[in-house]
Amino acid sequence: MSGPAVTFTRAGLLRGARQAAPLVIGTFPFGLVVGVISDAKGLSLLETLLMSALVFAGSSQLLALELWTEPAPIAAATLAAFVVNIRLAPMGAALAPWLDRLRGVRLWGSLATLVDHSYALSAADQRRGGRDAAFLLGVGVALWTFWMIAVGVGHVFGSAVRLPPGHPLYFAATATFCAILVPIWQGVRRDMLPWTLAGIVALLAWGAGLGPPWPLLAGALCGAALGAWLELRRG
Amino acid sequence: MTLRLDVLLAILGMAAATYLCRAGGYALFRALRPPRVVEVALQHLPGPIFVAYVAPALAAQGLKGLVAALAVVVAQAVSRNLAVAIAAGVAVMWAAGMVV
Repeated sequence: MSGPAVTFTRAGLLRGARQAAPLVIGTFPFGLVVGVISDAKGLSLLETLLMSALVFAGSSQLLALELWTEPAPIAAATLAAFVVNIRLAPMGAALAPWLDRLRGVRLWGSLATLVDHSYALSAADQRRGGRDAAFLLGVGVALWTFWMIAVGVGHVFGSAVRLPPGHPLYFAATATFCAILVPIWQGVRRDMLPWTLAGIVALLAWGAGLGPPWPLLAGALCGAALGAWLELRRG
Repeated sequence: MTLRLDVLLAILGMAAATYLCRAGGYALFRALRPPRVVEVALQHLPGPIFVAYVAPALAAQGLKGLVAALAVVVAQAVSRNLAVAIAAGVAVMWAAGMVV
């Protein structure tokens, strides 16, 4: 790789953190929902914060919590996290112009904070000619910090209010996923058939009495496979 | 402030799986170029994941769930604000609970 050297500076870190600030407004309510649902599923504040600190991927946390049972579903939660977060795998590769120049804890530590938003901001910065790889870590650390606060506040609120089961507020989890679908939608041509198939397969699996995470897995994999097949066939 | 072993193991499992996606993905994609169909399928995965989750969850709620989901989607599309969209869905569920 040629071109100017990639750096890793404090200034880049702070610039990343500053650019992450507007995103906090969008992710904070998500964190609150995760906190409230964690409490509803019987997780202590310590367990909730530990999960948020180590997993730090909102949709996989929320999804795993929706599958939560007593005792904790170790295999199902692990599998759910893997399936939901596999989308992060190609993002690191896309940031290779920066990451290839890092070693050791800077590389593997930066990757630990990789989320959709930090990828998107970093890719944009890279296209603008950004050379400071610490930018990625700066965005990630800022989002992580506010994520912990939001989840903590949500949990404290949930345990203070003690909502009865079936309370309308629990619909917030499902609502979050419905809302996430809106920006992901890229048009009828690309998404209509794969999304429809995903829904039908999930409903069939659910109707057949299969427990979580099987309806989710079957629907997601069938939908993604159909989407890929259609796209490659169109060329 | 409890920390139960089963919960800890589930959290560690999730954390390991997620880190594998983050770091292992980078390492693997750099080491060997995956076939294009894998790359394209991964790009298509997010939508079907959430549809496949939402469909049974809404079916379990019946008609009010469907109406609430519609409210969420419209609110998100118009406001582009997650908090507004979530509030719209919860409000519909709450109103439906008052009526029924």
